[in-house]
Amino acid sequence: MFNVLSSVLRYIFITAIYVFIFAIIRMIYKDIRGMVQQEEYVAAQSAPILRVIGYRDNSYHGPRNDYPLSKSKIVIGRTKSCDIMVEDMLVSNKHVSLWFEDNEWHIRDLKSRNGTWLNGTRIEEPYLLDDGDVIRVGEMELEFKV
Amino acid sequence: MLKILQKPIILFLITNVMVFGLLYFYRQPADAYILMAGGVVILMALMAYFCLTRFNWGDEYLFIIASMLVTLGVAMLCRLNYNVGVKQIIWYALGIIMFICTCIFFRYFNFWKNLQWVYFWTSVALLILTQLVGTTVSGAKNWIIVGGFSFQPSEAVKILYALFLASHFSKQNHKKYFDIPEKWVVMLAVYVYCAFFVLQHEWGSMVLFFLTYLVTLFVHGSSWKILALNLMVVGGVGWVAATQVSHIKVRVANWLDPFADAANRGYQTTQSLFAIASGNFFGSGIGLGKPQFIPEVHSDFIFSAICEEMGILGGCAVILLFFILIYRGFKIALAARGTEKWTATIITATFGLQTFIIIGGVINLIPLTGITLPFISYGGSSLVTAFISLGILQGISCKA
Repeated sequence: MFNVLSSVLRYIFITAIYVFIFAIIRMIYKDIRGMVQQEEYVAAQSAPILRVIGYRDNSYHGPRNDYPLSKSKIVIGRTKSCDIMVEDMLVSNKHVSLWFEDNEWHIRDLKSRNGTWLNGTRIEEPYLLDDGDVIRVGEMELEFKV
Repeated sequence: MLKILQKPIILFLITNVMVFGLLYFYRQPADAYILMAGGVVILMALMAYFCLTRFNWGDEYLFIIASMLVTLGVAMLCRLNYNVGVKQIIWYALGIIMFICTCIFFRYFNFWKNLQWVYFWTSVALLILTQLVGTTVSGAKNWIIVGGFSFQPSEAVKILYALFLASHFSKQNHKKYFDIPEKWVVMLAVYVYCAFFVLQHEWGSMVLFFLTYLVTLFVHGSSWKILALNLMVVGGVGWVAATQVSHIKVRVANWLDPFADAANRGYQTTQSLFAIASGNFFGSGIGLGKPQFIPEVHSDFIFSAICEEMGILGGCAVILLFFILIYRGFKIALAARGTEKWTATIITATFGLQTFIIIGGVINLIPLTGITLPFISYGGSSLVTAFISLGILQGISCKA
């Protein structure tokens, strides 16, 4: 009696413990995700934004939205690992980076094939960004707003 | 149905009901007492959990993870030695009460933060008392027996030591004692603790206390000089001990090749390894293996018994449970401030190191030193102390 019960129960027993561990890890995961989202929300409220103001030839009708600069370093490019992904053949894999340092936002072209324009001039070296600056990446024009 | 299974407390309940149901059939004739004791303990744990969530007393996972570990321990102990298991259930009940009391105490009182030297001298007094009137049990003089009750002071010293280190490391300005900076005085105090454990032949506690100190120094990160000096001392003393002291020479030899003298000196380790190996993935089932061949199986070697009867999956589950327990501990430490931050860090580090030292010893990863596995091993002092430490963590998490 006991032997049969014990040999059957061992499987259920181990399953129950692992489901228990899984349930706790799941709760912890939800907990952390909630915290991260809260932080991102707070950061997004006060961060400057990149607003899409237009496309040069009006050929593209994708989403025209605001990108909050909620991290201290942002890369724009065509690959998924970029913080802002742009599906545009004229944009390089990693095209341009924006970063926050000494209380200022900086911009630097990451040696992209077709270049980055800031207020109509192509940039070769890092620049400081001011409110209202217009950045052109590929076909897309973005306005930097504090 | 699946939604219910996502709640840890329901799974805790299911596991407990299965364990005590199985233990009811283990003895011939079946003993209703175990059902009653099990029921009372499950109710107490549920009530404690209910209090924690209902009144928002901080972290809700710590207690339930620890309770799961105790359940596994009780299941093994009742199977190994029925009387020992029943005693452990009583200690478990006392532990839950102490847990709630400590949690409330550390939540509402603050005077415990500035008693650095009170903690030190209390622990020295306890250790001297052990030297004077202590009883030797299996090679280590670490028990005080008063009128039928036996008590292990080194377990209480563990908490005092954590509070002592925490109140030192959280200070911004350090005093000087006789023109010596405080950090050197504290280092000396740590060596005093270690010296007492050497006198008692309690190598496990000595290693545990010293490693806790090293980890805290590393986390504090202010005095690399002291950390480097201590690491050199470890290297030097360790080398001398491993080559000169006969007692430790035997242990190192056993660690390197337990099968060289499998019938005598390596008996414990080899039996433990055989038990783990015979467990396979799912184990033999509770009560169907032969873990009773391992000496000290109910205290130090309970992990090998778990591996034999619940399989390597059961053993991994125990380690995973400790992982999430320690993760929660460090998360509490990150959120806390001042002395509380350091208390939480040191207590969590102690749990982690203690688990590593004994599981490492049992699977022959590091030289074996006798020490209890927190929450699982048999021992009233050990279990109640673990619950008090957990209560301190819980109390700290209330405030953050």
